[in-house]
Amino acid sequence: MDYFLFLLITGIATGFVYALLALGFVVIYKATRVLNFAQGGLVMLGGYFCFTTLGQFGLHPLLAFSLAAIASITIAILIERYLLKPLIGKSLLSLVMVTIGLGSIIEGFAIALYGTDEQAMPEVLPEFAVSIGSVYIPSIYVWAIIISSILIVALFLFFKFSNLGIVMRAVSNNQPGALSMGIRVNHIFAISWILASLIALAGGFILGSISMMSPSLSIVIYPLFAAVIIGGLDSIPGALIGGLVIGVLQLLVAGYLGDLTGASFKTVFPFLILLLVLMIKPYGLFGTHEVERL
Amino acid sequence: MAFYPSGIFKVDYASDEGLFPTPVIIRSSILFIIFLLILPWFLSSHMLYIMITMFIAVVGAVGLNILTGFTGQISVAHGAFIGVGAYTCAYFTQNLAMPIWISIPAGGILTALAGIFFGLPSIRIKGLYLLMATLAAQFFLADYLFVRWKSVTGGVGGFHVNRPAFPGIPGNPNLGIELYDDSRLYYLAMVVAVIAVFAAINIGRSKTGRAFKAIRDRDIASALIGIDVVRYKLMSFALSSFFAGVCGGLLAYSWKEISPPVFGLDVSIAYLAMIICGGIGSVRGAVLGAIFITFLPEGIMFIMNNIVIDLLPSWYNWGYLFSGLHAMMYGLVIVLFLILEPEGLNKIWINFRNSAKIWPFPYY
Amino acid sequence: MNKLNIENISLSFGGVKALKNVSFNVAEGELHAIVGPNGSGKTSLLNSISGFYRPHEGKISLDGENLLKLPSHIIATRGVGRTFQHSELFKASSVLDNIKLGRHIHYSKGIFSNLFYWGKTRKEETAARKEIEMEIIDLLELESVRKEPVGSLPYGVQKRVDLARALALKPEILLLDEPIGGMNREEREDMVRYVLDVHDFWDVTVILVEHDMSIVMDISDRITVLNFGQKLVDGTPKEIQSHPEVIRAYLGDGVSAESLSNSVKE
Repeated sequence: MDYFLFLLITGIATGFVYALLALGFVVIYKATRVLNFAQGGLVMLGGYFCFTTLGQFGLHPLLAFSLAAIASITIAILIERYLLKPLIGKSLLSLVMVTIGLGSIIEGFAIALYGTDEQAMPEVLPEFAVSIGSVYIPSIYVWAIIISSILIVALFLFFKFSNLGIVMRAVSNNQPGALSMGIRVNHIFAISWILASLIALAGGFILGSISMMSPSLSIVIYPLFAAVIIGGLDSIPGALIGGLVIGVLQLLVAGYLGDLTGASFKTVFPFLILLLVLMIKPYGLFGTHEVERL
Repeated sequence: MAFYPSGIFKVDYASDEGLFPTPVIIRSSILFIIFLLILPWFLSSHMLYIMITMFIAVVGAVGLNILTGFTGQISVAHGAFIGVGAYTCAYFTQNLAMPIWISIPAGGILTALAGIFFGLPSIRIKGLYLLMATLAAQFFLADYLFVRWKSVTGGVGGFHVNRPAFPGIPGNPNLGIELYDDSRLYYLAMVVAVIAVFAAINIGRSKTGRAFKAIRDRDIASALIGIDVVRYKLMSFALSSFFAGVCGGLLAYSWKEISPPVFGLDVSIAYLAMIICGGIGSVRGAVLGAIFITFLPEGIMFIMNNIVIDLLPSWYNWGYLFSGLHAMMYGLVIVLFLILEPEGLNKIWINFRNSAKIWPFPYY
Repeated sequence: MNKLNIENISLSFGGVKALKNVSFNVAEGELHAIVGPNGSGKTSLLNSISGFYRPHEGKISLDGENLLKLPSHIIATRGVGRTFQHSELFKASSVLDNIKLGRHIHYSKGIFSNLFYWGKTRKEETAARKEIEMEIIDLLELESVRKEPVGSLPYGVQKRVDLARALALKPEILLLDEPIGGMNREEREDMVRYVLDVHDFWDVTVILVEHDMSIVMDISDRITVLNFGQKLVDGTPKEIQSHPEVIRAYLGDGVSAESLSNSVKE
């Protein structure tokens, strides 16, 4: 029972991080119809930015995070300007492949700068002991839940009420329409990339603190695909639910069936769920089914 | 001396439908094949190995081009499909003692079945959602099935396969011409690659290929003019996977040792990189792309080891930089081609040919 | 002898009723026009015949066979060829390949023969090419563009390629969805001539959806008028011209039959 509780709570914490990161996909997909395969790379890069400013430069956390955020924003703007903009209106394959290529470029970049060894993220968050019953929960999981839920709520409010958020929703609904209203659509594209990269920064910091920093952190992207597909690619609540479900199920399955199925099952399992969902509800649980016309 | 007539004049439809527009092209194709035939005598053993890898890559890239380039269904599962072919061939050779002319087609057919199975979601979904389904297939096969099904695949420890002889008989695959020498495997790989290229071209210019391209361009309209979309999509998955399976079988014989990581997602991406930098949807592009991507790491390594390394100060450990460069290589190629020359090497080749035709007296 | 019977079909999208209880017959060899204001369900009706939409009630039968039970690619093999309102051509392929795709159902050689090509497939491809050149490219005057990719051609030529693709199916019944929409005068006249040629010389039953009343009145044998998804009337152009319901639907109340026929003549 304690074991179950432990798995459940760490699963929920992972699920919150997944939900946050899944929002990174949805933000970009909604605005630009690009599924960003480089999101895992951005997460890993964000983690390394924090690692550099906190650990290698030894800056005060606030300053460190601001610097890391500036770096992330710069990268996002560069990506949008030089990789995505030339491909507006190109085929799905081009859009997918450019982000896949970008992902491997980021990974190579990280390997060249930091090597392939695992490194520990400096601990800047206050430690405290949480125990439920006799289960001891490491404080980083609690922090994961807190940070992720704050950011998720902030994003939700941003989209719902802020002017920019409404503009972004308008762009995702009807691009030519938004253009004719005087909205600068390419700015919106850049802003959605910036948002996604900031989300990735936060996610990279949390994930780097939970496990270790290494270029292979970018594989976090794969269970996220399952999360966004289950939720439907363009649905924010869907991404939240998908992220939570995948996070919890993944840890439960790894915890209970790990011996039976082998370690690699943890990576494969979300994809089996994904296949199942695709077979039953092809456009996810909350996604919009595009009606085809002649 | 070869010369071009001032135009190509055809007097019947058969020649207009034909593969070779001019006699010059037939002659140069024959010369090229002869060149390939005598090439092994002049190559070092390493270059011979690279050439074999290149022929094998041509088979796989041409196959992927049928699915992604012709039919427009993006597959990131080809690394795993190649793995299915490789393990099938290895199993047929080692455990069932089947000769090469049974095991390679068997690898192709089994992979085609796998392709049909994992292509089934394409009946209902397309685009990104289908891409996700193939990603799931890649992970399920390469990261789970190949690792866990130890009795057949040998798990992470790998599977050793002896190179059979050609042709061999069932029960004794080692009867015939031994292939232990790479220069002999070279000819097998070359013949298979040439057959694969011609088969792909033939598909592209006949009923089946036209239906594939119709589905890529406008799937609803193609159903309304009488194309059975589901059937052709699955056919495309099957055919493309068959090529991948044959490619995998040859790889198994070339490497003699296979294990799950060599069929990972990065292999799928490398094959997609081939058809993208070659030029999506063209067989010639797939061939050029396969050649380019095979020789790219070799070229980079050559430049690094012979030129750059001497110029770099020795007090820093450059290993990280090199391995980083190696990791980003395919990504960089994909991105650069997509942005700078979306139509790929095929377009570069056509431009070159058009300007070479009128050299040295351009019209203007 | 009726070629096509449409009996009481109804079609709705969510709450919107696109077609309500529509029935009419099309006789063998007839040039049958369907007219009506925008949104009256003309295109929905064509899409229902060719199997893209599935009416939830009623029956559409071609030569006595119920089409509603067949998947759309099988409907095409029953000899239903069609053109589209908005170009649905395969833009990356050449004109010739588009037309060959129209003939898809008449190619019999399968994938294995295609892989080898030389031999049976080559024979079939050459024979089909010859037929296409003689019958279609020649008729529609597409010789000069036959190897161009369709996407690069002007709109009027694309419409002609669309017709060519439909003809390549060797249709028994040809559905034309606004074949002259958005064309200039010269292109319209050419297109009408092609349609009439095809109708006269190929013995094809034609169903034509069109806005332009003057052309419809001139060329069609029978006309069905739709309004808000319902059939108003159907009859010969003469009957339609003077029918009060039609006048009301087209011009509103208080307009006389004479003014309509005058406006049609202009």
